[in-house]
Amino acid sequence: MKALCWNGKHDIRLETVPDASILNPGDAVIKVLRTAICGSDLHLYDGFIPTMKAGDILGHEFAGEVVEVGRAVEKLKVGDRVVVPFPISCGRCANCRRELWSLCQNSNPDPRIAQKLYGDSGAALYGYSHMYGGYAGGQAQYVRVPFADVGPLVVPDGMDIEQVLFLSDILPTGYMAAENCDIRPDDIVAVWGCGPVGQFAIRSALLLGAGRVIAIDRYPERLRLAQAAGAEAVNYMEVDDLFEELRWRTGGEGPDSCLDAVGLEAHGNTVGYYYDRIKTAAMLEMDRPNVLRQAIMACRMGGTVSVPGVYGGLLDSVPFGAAFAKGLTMRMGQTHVHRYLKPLLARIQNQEINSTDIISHRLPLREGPAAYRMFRDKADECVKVVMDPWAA
Amino acid sequence: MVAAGAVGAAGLVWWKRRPGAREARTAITILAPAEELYELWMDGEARTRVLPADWRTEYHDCQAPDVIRWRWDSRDAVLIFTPDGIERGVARTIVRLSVHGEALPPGLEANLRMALWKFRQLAETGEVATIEGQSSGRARGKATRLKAMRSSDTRDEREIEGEVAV
Repeated sequence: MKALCWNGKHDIRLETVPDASILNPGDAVIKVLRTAICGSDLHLYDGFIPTMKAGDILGHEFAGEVVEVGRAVEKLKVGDRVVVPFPISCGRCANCRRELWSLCQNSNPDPRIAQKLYGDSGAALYGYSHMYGGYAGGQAQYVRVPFADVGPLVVPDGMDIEQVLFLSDILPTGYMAAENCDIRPDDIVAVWGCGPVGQFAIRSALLLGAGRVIAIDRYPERLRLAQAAGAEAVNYMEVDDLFEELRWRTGGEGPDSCLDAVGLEAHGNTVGYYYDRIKTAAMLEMDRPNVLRQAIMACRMGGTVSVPGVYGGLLDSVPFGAAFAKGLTMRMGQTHVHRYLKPLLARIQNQEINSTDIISHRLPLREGPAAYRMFRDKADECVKVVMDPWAA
Repeated sequence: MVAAGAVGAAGLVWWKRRPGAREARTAITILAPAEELYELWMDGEARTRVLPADWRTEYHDCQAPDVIRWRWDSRDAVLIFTPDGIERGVARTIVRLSVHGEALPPGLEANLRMALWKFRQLAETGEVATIEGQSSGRARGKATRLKAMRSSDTRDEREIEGEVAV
């Protein structure tokens, strides 16, 4: 089968690899009909996430058709069209039973690296390093899906597979990030990063009752998308001081909630940004938490900082004292996708959320390597790439 | 700078060669009754799936369903199952594993933790999570014939045939 393989920093190749196959009785094999590049895949592309191995198959956003099931699989059957959550969850451990699906205790075959780095290991993820389990990803023609009775959601007849594709990650991720803000009517929510997760966070915040959403980015096409969804747009490159801008727009108080949909590869025009660039280049810091710093400083006293953006390691000069002094609530983590599948499917069906208008590029899988570059560089007004593994 | 590096290197060498600990221990909580876990551990086939092959076991003085003891390379290992209430309708058991002996090898604690991690996978899900044998760009060569051909009649065989030869 064809698959996009990671071969090092900035080195993604389309390769012919052995077919995906059943390894455990609870597995299924899915013929991938659509797969997408996630913003967090760029952290792999840029070499920020450790424990990748040359040849690893990438991709954790995919949907397709079941073509084979293991002998222990009872609910899925061959021919079902499914969308698959990016965390691999057993459905049986204490965390899965508590609906903390992305913290599954049983899906990572080798938790030792995560235990060493983080003190514990959460759920394994598709195509996202060996620290996260080392499972082959879905930017391929076929993918093995463990615990197949637990994760995949069967797509209702009549729905286009593209409509449900983003249930695999970015739609629930944006939604959970907004939900984590505990939005009250008329709250003001500021969202840093108008990429795919940010776009869904903006829409979710408004759905959950936010009075205003302030969208912050530097790319006009992304800010236009945010405005079309109902947000106010702030191009941080065009304001003197983002902190003062937010204070001005919120009557001097700051947003009730600040949502960091950027994560560890933040850009910016502040001293903090250049400080991070130098320290990461000198390998004295792992992540660039420029947005996190801004979010903590800008947030209203007693407010919430919600972090759907991925952080991987050690962060420098994060104003934790400010977070403490202002009594902020900080909420974060990998998305418990399984929890949101059915409610968000209903919202798509009811046309409360447009799940496809963020797609800027539809490409065959063979153009994946170039698509990674384009997405990373935000070239050609790229917001979201969806790939068809079977297109010529 | 050089002196600091030398001190650091010397410290690392000492740390690597320091005398082994006399005890290694780890614990895990599993959603299963102690009786079930005791039986599962005593099941030879299950045990081979969670313990390294070179951990020879000679059981003695076991007390079902609470304690399993064994000798392994002149070391004593003890596994204790302690019931710990109910979690969402399922019995919860704390499993503690400790090994005593002279100069235990470094890294033993991590191996014990790994063994219990796999044991929990087996006990709670019926399988041990694995990626062994999965597809990747590391195993280049002739691609295996798609298994779906055996179990599915939904695939277009022509498209499959097109992907088999490498």
